[in-house]
Amino acid sequence: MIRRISICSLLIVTLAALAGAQGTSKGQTDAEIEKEILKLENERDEARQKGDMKALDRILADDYFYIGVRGNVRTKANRIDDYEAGIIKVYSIKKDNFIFKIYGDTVLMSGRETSTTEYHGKPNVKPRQFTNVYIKLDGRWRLAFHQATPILEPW
Amino acid sequence: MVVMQLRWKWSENTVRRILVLPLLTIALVGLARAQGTVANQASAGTEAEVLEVERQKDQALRNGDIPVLERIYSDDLAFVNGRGQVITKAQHLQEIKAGNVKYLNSDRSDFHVHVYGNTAVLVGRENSTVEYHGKTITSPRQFMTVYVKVDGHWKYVAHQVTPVAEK
Repeated sequence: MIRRISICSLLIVTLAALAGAQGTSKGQTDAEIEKEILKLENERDEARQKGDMKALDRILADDYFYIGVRGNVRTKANRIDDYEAGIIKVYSIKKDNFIFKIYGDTVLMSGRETSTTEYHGKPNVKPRQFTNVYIKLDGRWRLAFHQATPILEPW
Repeated sequence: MVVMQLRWKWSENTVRRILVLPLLTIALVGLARAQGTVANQASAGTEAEVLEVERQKDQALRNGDIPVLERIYSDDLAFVNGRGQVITKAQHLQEIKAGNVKYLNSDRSDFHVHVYGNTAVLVGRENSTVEYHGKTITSPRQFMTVYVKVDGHWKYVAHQVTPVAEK
């Protein structure tokens, strides 16, 4: 009898865990989420500067999609290869005008960047507007999309 | 006799274990597969829903149909145009109403839809012809559009465009 109860309990706990893992995570306030995303963004920026591929691998989603200031499209593997090959260099980070929009397990983080970087030997110091899409995957926030557009004078 | 009974009891327990464990495994594998199938079907269904809203939005842009755009655009829409300017829903609709922006045709390629629950992100390349403040834009742009399902409706919450530079 005890064994049957134990097996049933085990089955219920396992099923509940399985169902729970596929649901959305709750319980965080918007301020807590913003703080967590900002921390992750700082970790990503530090990793970009140091060339810390292990940290980038942890932060970027596996289907990460990058659209650069030249409209170039790169995957996670492309970006990591570019860092490892020294094609991307990040000399300093400067970002401001952050706006966070939270929709459940999705956070849109936008802002302005004037970091000094180099891509294929071409320096980039011009201001650009960026949007980052962070998605909570398996309980962890991951950067799934990044797009940057050079800021020009309005027509 | 006692020895036989003990052996029988042990044997009965073993049989129970042998039966229960595979049953548990089959149940869990079945559940996981069922959830996977449902998730795949849901993802395909979601993709079709979002693409339909995107089609309606594009048609409304070409026709200057403000009520349709009002319905699809989220009130907190952030629209980043090809010059890196951030435009609100009200500003964007005002530009269309005033005739400052005209979407003359729709030409898109390399379209990818990524679905994460109630969020769908569309990325692709655009060669559509747009007239903006009297200037005709035909040069290729890379775009990202984010839709979020709010109260059962897919809402256009973010859009960004980056001109594709020559190599």
